[in-house]
Amino acid sequence: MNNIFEARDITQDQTLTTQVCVIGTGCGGATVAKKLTDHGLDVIMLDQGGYYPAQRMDQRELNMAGKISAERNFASSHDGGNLLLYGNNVGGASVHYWADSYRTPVEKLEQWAQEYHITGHSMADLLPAFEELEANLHIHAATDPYFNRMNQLLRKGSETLGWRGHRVPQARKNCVKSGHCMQGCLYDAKQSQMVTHIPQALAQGARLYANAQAQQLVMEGDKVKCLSVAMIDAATNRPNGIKLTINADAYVLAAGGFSSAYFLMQQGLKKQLPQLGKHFSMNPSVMVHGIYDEEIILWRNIPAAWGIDHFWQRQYRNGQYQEGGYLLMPNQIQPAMFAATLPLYGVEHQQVMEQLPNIGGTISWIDDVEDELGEIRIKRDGSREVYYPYGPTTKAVLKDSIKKQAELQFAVGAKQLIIAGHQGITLNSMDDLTRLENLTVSAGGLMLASPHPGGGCRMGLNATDSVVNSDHQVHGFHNLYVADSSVFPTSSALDPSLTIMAFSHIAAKCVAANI
Amino acid sequence: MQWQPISRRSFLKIAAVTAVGVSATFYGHRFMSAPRNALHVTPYGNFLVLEESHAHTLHAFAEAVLPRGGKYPTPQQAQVLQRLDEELYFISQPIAKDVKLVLHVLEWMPVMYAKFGRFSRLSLEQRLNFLNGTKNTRSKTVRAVINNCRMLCFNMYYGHESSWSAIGYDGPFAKHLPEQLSEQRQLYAALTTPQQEQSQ
Ligand SMILES: Cc1cc2nc3c(=O)[nH]c(=O)nc-3n(C[C@H](O)[C@H](O)[C@H](O)COP(=O)(O)OP(=O)(O)OC[C@H]3O[C@@H](n4cnc5c(N)ncnc54)[C@H](O)[C@@H]3O)c2cc1C
Repeated sequence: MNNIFEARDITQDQTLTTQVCVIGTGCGGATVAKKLTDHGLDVIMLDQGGYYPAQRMDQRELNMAGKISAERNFASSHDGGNLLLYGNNVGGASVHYWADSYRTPVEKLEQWAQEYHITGHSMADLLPAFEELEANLHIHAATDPYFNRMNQLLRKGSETLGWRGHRVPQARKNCVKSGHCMQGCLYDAKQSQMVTHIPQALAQGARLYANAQAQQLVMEGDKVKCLSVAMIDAATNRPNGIKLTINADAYVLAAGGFSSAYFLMQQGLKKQLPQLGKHFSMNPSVMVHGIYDEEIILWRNIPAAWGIDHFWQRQYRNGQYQEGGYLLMPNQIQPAMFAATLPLYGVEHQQVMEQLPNIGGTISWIDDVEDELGEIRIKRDGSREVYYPYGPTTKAVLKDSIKKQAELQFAVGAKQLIIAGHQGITLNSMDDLTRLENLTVSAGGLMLASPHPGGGCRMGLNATDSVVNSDHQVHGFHNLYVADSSVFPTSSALDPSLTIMAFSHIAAKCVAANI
Repeated sequence: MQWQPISRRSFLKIAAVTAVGVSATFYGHRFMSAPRNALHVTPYGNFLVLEESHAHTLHAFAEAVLPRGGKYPTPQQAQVLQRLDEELYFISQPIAKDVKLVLHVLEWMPVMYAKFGRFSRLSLEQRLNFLNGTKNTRSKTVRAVINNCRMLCFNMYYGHESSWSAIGYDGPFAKHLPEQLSEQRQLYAALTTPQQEQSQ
């Protein structure tokens, strides 16, 4: 297509004019762009990352991390204890995602309406969006051939223990079961934004600029007048000195949960928007690896065909946390990342790695506790800090999720479990669970990963409680919007991609109505 | 042998002092505008980010923690140092700086335990003893340093094709799919290959 531009195509400074400029092309940005073109609007999409269609993929962990992962997966939370996984590429994290596609739980939407005063995002408002997205992205419940051995075991375990589970809704078409979802789908089977909303928006006239980093919004009163964009040299990964100036009627920020609040802080808006960066969630995820007598081959077929939602809500008795507050899934990681999560080295490490084909595992992502949320901050040197406090309830939820993962894996035949992290905690039976008492939830203790950032540009009533209103408009600005997971008032509980996209349908309507 | 670590407070003090030293060196370099592409020629290869001292520490650590013998590649064969240097070259400077700092602290950690010399100068057995001795430490800093280094080494090592057969990993699903080197990988290769070799 001739409306895709990479850094190598732009040889001098340019000024571009459009109706809407969308910053970021992940689930949030690409969807909003597609919907705006449905409304007949002219759209420019920008992404600071590179353009990597299937023919530029090679299924190698490190190579692909270098192409599509932000900071090549080296980014971590403030204390180094939590690996931040997100995209830096056209299509954003949808290119690495597992394609689990859940509608937002009604309970969440009701909570957001009642406690955070969000309007226009009820299940009734979102339903048409969910239906359209599910058709467009071929979302369907995972069928039996897509259950690898770990998924079969998870299903068996949930049935044995009486834990409610479900076939995970998947955004895929003609999946060949390669197991390389996190390295990008070479077969265009996974319905990432690269094969859905981006080409659809382009077909309706949108323009896409890859390697184009939005840097400065030029403001005039309550309006953004123009945006200055630096082109990033694909080889050096640094600005090449060429600038684009974009004049648009409206600007939609969709830089993702780890980046949108930071971008607005870089514009000097923290004083005007004191909630900027606050109320940050990331579904911290904890992994338990299991060694089995049988072959598992965790790295093939789809990651999550069966999920356990039995514990998705936290249970309290007399105000005391009892259990739950997470989704429990099978894990899938390729060997380099797997080895990095192992607490062992030397001979012990070697012995485990040699059993790789027989290693399975589970993962749980916790629904962030509302009064223990984190914050995106800007440091003195201008760099970003992702602060996460791990409050007492969060710690209890993490430990409970480890116990449940252990219970399930022992129930289906695991002979030894290894908790991902640095303390070398291994379990040989349920009796060993007492070892969890020594588990530290901080850098150098449990190893966490966070692929689901949210918040930081919370939606709400006004600048004292939030950053954007229910029309996704940044408080105090007429033509600046946010459309990604950063607008979530609290964590979306389940995997967020479909919620992000459905919210973008609403955002597009609001933008179009205001132009 | 039971290692008695010095107190967490004194460790942190020493770590902070070394950190300041490293930061000062780093910023000093920057302001003296050393070209970002300056090549550090080390016994383990030519690097753009890792300096010779980092390379010695990392190599000594990799030798101690990675599998050895038989079907396993050596750290050099699996290009652990090269690949880490390449990754560091393309990520944000504050992260790369942190990694160098961690390597620096690791180098001096045995000294802080008041028992040994610098990490890279210990024999393999001493390195292993030292690492084993820190296993149950309550110091978060010690744990964080060792674990960060371990994660980096494993990630690079098993990211390399030469380690796959030993662990029963059959590689990419698309067999015989050639590597598609990104512009960044190509640039790194060019920058770290001495000019004479390039022109040959
Ligand atoms: C490994 C992994 C597995 C996952 N699995 C699932 C799953 O199965 N189901 C699910 O629902 N979710 C999953 N997620 C999460 C999901 O992919 C993300 O929540 C979602 O894709 C985020 O969309 P987004 O638009 O908010 O942000 P992103 O996808 O992060 O997109 C933001 C984009 O903005 C660009 N950008 C940032 N700053 C700038 C700037 N200044 N200028 C220009 N561009 C900029 C970035 O390069 C990026 O492409 C997974 C995530 C990961 C990493």
